[in-house]
Amino acid sequence: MAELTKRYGMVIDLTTCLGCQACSAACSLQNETPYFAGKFRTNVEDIEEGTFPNTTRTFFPHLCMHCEDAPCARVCPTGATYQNADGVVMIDYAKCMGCTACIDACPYGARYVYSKDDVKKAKEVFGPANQHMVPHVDKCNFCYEDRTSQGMQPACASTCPGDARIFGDLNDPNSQVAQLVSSGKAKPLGAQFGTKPKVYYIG
Amino acid sequence: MLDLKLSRRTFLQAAAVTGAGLTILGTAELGKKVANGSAPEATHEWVPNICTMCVNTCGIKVKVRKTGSTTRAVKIDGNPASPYNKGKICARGQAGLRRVYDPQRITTPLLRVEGSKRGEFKFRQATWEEAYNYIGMKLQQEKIMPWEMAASGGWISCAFYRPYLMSFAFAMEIPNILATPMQHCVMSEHFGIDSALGTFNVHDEIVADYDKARYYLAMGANAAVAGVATGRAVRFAEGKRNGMKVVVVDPRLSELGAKADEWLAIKPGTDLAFVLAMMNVILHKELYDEEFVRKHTNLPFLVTTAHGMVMPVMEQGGPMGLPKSFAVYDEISGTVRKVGGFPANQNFADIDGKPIRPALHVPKDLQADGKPVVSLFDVLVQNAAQYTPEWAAKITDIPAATIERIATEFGSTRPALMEPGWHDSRYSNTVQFRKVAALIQGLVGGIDRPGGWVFVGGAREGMHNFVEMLQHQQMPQSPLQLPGLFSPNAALQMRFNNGDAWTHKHPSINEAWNQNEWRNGRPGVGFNLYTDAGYQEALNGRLQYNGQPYNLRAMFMSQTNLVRNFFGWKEILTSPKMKLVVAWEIGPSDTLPYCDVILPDTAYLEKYDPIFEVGMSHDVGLTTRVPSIPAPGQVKHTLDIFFEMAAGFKVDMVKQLAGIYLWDYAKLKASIEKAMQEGKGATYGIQQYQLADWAAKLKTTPEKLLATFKEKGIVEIEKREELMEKMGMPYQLPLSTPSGRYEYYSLFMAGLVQRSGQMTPEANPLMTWVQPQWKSGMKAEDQLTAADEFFLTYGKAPTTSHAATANNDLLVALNLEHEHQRYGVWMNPLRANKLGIKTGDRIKLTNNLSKQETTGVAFVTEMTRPDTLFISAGFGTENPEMKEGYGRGVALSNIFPFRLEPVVGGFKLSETTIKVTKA
Repeated sequence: MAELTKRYGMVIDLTTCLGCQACSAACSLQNETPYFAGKFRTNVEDIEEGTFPNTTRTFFPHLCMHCEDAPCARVCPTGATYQNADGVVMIDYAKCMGCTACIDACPYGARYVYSKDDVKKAKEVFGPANQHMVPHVDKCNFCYEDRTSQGMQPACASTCPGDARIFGDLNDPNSQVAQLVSSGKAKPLGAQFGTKPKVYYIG
Repeated sequence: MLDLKLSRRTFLQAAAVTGAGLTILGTAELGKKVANGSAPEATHEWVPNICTMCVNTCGIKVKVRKTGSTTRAVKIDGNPASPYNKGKICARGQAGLRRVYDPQRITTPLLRVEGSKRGEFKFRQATWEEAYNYIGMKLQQEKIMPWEMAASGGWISCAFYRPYLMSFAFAMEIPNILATPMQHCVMSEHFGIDSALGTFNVHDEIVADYDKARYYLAMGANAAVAGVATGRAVRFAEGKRNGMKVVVVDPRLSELGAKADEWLAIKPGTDLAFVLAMMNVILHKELYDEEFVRKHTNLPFLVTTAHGMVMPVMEQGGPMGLPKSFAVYDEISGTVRKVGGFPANQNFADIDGKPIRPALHVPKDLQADGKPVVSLFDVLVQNAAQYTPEWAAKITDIPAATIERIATEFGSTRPALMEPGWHDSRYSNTVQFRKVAALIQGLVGGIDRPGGWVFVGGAREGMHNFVEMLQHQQMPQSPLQLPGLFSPNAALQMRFNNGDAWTHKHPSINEAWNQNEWRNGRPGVGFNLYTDAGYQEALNGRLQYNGQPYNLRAMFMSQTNLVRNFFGWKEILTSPKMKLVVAWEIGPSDTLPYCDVILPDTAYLEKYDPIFEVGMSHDVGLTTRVPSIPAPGQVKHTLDIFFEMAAGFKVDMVKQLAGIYLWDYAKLKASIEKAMQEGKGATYGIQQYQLADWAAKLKTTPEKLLATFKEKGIVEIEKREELMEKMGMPYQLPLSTPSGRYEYYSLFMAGLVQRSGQMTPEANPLMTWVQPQWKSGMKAEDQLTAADEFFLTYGKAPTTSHAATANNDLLVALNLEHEHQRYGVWMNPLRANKLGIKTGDRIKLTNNLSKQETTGVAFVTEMTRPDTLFISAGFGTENPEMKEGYGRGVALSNIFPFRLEPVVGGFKLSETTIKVTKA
């Protein structure tokens, strides 16, 4: 692997996630993904636990974990899935042959098929010049091309009313994400899978 | 907690993946070499705008892609320059693109097909000329008089165009304005607070300072924060990060409840008992901010209490007919002293400017003007003594010890913040509930201080200018120059309640109806502003004014969804006596099928707009709109339609507008006429006029000002900190109450009672318990024990609220992620099991009072009380033309009867019980 200059990651603060789904909406429009088929790169689980009146309700956002040791990249036969120089797990849509091995390999369920029908409908919904001209397997890329590589926040973090999504460079010890991770306050989800996720949670 | 979620989540994901039914792509795709994002050369720019998916007026930036000759909005972000939403925007705001590009947009004028009936949605395309001619012809043919018309505005008018709707109505001599948010939202939720604070539209005039509070108590108000109001949610989350304790009192576990340290599932309709008991505890334990209470409230005022009626000792003769002075007992001199009325703002100096220290408790047998008097504080303490935590516990189902603890925590933590609320038309005691909540917020001194209820910049400016005007012995020329609650009150007195203000001598339908009610010994609606009180009677020939029938025969509706206001509007609009129904709208609504003429309106990304003050912000600033994308088809701006109609009827709307804002009539007229001649529309002319006007005030050029709007969206004028320091209310400036103080005994409310001649507990100017009338014979402490009988509550989901969000494919997709929770009827498993009901089952709901029926789908959940159903409002779209929203969720308007509470005409929607059976 090339020497990393940046290592993008995200910390999600469950205490301030309001369950409003602004992230899902922002992501769908930013990345022109097939929400109309019920497919999202990021979604918010709404978890009810306990018995009245001791009920709790937790909002739990999900997205690609951008694993250091990404099982999806390992199983991809065409090299369509790869980790870029900034540590973001990317998909080259043109190289993806749609075998879906990556979907089976991902322990986080972060991937889905952007199908032929979805591509057709996307033209109607997003206009003819949209980002998805061919079917492929799809997932979060931290809005790399349009936003984060230009110094902007990913669409989800940028719009989150609760500021529950903190995005930054894990290699930069001064960044908020690096500090939350190194302090142990933010923890990865499913550490036991051993994939070294770069998305962490507080809560 | 994290570990727990881990195992559960992993399992869920695995299940989802294996069951996903994935499509293998065709091999034909393999050989294709297509680059990612292979669009032709495109350029992008970000254009600021103001979100109009709900009424929050958040600042946004719209990313526009230009490819060849096509311009398309491709993304919306929050505007970082916005002091309210600070760069954030919710799902509805994001989904604004799908409102603008809704395939069901109305883009040409439509005329109802001859021979069809209202309600059928059979329309044909028409030209603007045809549409306008049809309107003119109908009015002439049917000889419809101005007072027989009503002009109705929805929440977009409420947020942006109130003075314009008024100008149109005044120019046309239409005394009937019907504003659909009034009864549900503005007045029901606000008036109790207004009565103490002097505001008119609380959620526009104060923004609670969540980020600086240490204790936050939210009751019946998911929509105010997590329902979601982005600018408030941003502050709330910051408050959470800063360690603010959050207590949510709500019969169901709302989004806000999910973020609470403590969730108290109160019995629906009994919030008032909870706050009355809090008042009892805070007074009894003396946890109040004594300095604030003595100095800036009317609690030290001396009052007489003959026949159980409280009456402040006061002297008439102040400005605008307000009292000139009040009396207090000075502890230093041991004498009764006079303190000034409005615009005085404090009690630490008497009317001659001599320092005094007004007492809260006054000596026994004190007399003023020869009558025995006590302090209002003494009256309040005595009144509150009956509302013990034990009393409230029986009513609210919350233990007395818990109520006492919450009250004590609230009273002893500074700053403590009571949620001021948002939308509340649920019970006859709503006004008293919000009033007592406001009185508690005053007791802890949380008024216009960090962490409390902080005024928006514009509210201060309004008061500052008004006080200056009074100091120069000038009288206001227009109700709009008056601050807070003075403004609508003057509009009622000068215009709507006053037949003599119109050449045809008819006051509003509301006023004619009120007079009829009062004659018959009924309470009417005290603050009857822009409500639909009397509209049914005016259609059925049952309304009289001056011995003549007062009929309603034509409706002009600007983006308003009346049939969802209450079910009776379907009858009103389909009546053969209704001769003309005109609406302007962006896309189909539930009301549009009931129209004769539909005029296509612009969406927010497509238009120029007047210059507005930055809404809901503690700073003072300006904002406006410039189009980021071209408008489709033949759509026209709401205001352009008003101006064109006014021109068609040969009435001078420009003059009315200039009069309301005190703008230069000749210059405004020239600017509007030029814009209309150039085909840019009247609104563009207004913006041009205002650019010149503001540029002069701000010592810049119109071009530079416009350039700032185009780049940043917002022109900052003054920051919160400076404003709070020099224009604190009531610290430097008075409040817009008749006494200028924070009013525990409301003179406004006393005035309403006096005018109607009817004293109802709902309109009590101090405070009182009001028993909800769920069903006959049911007392507040009674329980619903039959397995199939429930209370019904409703509230907001964060994704779907206003009509703009009702037919949006992205928001529907988000709702489907939580399908039963969003669209379903929440029911606790304790009852559901008894009734044999499971999540997903169709159930029938019958209103036990009105016998109205509707059906829904059950969502069995531990997140609601066993005796309480919950339904998300904003769903239940009934017009099949709304292809995305149609048939999802429950139309609450179908199950609620038309009943008005007597203070503001609130609908008391939840004041009933519901019988549930399997459908």
